[in-house]
Amino acid sequence: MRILDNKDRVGGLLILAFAVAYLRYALVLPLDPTDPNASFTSRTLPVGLAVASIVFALVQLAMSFRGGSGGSIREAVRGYRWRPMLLLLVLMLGYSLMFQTLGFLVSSFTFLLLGFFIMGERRIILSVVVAGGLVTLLWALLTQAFGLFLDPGDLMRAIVGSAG
Amino acid sequence: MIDGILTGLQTAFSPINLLMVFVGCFAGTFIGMLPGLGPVSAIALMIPITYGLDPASGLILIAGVYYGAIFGGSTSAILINAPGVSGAVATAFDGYPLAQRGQAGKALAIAAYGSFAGGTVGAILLLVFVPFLAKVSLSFQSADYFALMLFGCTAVAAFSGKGQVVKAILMTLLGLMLATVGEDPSGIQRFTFGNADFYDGISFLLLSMATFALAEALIVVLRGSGGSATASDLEKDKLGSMKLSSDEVRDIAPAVGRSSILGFFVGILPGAGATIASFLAYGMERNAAPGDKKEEFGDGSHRGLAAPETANNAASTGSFVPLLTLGIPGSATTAVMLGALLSYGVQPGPRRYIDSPAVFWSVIISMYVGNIILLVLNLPLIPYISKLLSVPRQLLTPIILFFSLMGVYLVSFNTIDLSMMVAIGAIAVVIRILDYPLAPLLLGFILGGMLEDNLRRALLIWDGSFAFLWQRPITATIMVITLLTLLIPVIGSLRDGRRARHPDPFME
Repeated sequence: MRILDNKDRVGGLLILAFAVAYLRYALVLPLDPTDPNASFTSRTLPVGLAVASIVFALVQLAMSFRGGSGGSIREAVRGYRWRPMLLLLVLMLGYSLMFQTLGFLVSSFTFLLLGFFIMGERRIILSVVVAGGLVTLLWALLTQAFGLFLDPGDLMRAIVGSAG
Repeated sequence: MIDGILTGLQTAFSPINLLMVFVGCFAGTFIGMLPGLGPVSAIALMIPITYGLDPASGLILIAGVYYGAIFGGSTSAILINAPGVSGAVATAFDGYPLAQRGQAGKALAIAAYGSFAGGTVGAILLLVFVPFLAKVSLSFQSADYFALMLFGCTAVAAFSGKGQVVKAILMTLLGLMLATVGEDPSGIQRFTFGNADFYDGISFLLLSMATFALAEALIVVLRGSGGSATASDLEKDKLGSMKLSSDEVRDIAPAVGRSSILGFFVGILPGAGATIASFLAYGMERNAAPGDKKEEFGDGSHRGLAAPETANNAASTGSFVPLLTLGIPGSATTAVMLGALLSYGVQPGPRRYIDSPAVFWSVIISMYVGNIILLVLNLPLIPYISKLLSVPRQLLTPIILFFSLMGVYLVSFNTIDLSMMVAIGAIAVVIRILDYPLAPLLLGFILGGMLEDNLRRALLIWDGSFAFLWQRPITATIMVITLLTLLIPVIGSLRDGRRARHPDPFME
């Protein structure tokens, strides 16, 4: 797979694939039923953009093969710390999915605490104080000073509901 | 014009707006100081807060954040050799060696005075150019605007540097394609796949936060770089004196003057921006310096520090010219600002100058007030603000990610946006690894809607014919400039590629 170990080439290929898929959908976009023969339709710009992208992606690919442009991906990512970055991505995704259930306070506090841990912070008291302080401060600022509503979460509602 | 300026002065100097400039400069300095977070991220982070304000105050806050972030970027470049923004890279060349010699205070003062001078000259030139250009652009029609937007898109690519032209064009096209997601002006859903969350298209704030703030923070984690400075590096007594002698002022004054004018005009060019201006000014001063002074460059030269700092601030002011007069952003930062303006319901352009002089002039005047505040208040506070650089990275990164996520959530209150942001952030990291520039993507995205609207209108006026491209003199002129801007670097790239395959034996 050495042929794919080139930043310009892989980038060109990804954009080419995206542009072809985009063109496929652009060609079947619905037209304005009141004026289907208009000179400018919902397809005009998307089709033009897709065609231009395909042309330039092919130019980029040709340049990567003929001119030898683009460095090695393997070289570029050597020494990269993938684990914390991927864990942070998963954490952010989890935060977005659990926000409605856990609510702002619990989900944000957990997010920060786990984030600190992923980044290598092992001082638990410091982590709890920083995460707790920041989330409480932001909650107070947004809800009390700016009057915004921050979702307390389904879980909190259920607990308060069952207690009431 | 005088009435407009007076109205602007009244608005800008109202207590609430003065507070906004101060808060903006202060917050911007904080954010800009963090390696990886530049003006784009700083502005994007502040936008949700500005939604509760009136447009003038919101814009004033954003302008303050902009200048503050640039100043903050220079501060981290000087103190820890980690430029917070690309425009401050040239600042680190001579700023960091000065700091290492125990003259960090002097270096920060030179940076602040240079920035102030650049901002002052830039503001004066802005006062002269904006009304003139706004009047000229009143005669512009949809066809001309379409051509201008096309020029804006291609100019970014043209200035993107050697070997990056085709990549920048591809990223601009990608941004334009993303802009077509959602309901088109005739009410037809495009690329929504029946998902109601896409009906309004992708939010510009979401895209800018994901591609800049989120992606930058993740890249820093990935590279394991951008570690915090130790507290001892940043102790106040180690900064040294912030006073400049009269000889030192005399030494840097001509460089500051030249760089101000150069920076402003480079800044006006779409796509050029503060980074190119700072490098050009640095190069110009090094070439112009006499023998002994030339050798100091890279080793703590006062001129070498003053020139890029002055130029990047003047260029930042210059980049407002196309935004304010034509409604076309020339850089990623002004593109985010345009997005903010549009979300307030403010459409910048020549009509804004005539219809809302208060907003127009108050922003220009506030930009200048921002410069004064940076000099008078921020500079003395730098020893304290710079303590932020000693916050451990393991705490700072999750906090940056958290604020980025909250920034997007607080606008839409929709958790789907958070998931979308994470997905786009992950794609942006891949794009960064592959060395494709993200600024053109954002610019294409912001210009996409306006480009399509103007093309649609122009085609309606011209009965579906593209003849306006060559029959309207203004449009034709802009199109010729656009084609030249696009073709010259593309041909250059192809020629470089050919040269790489068949190297000239005499050049080896």
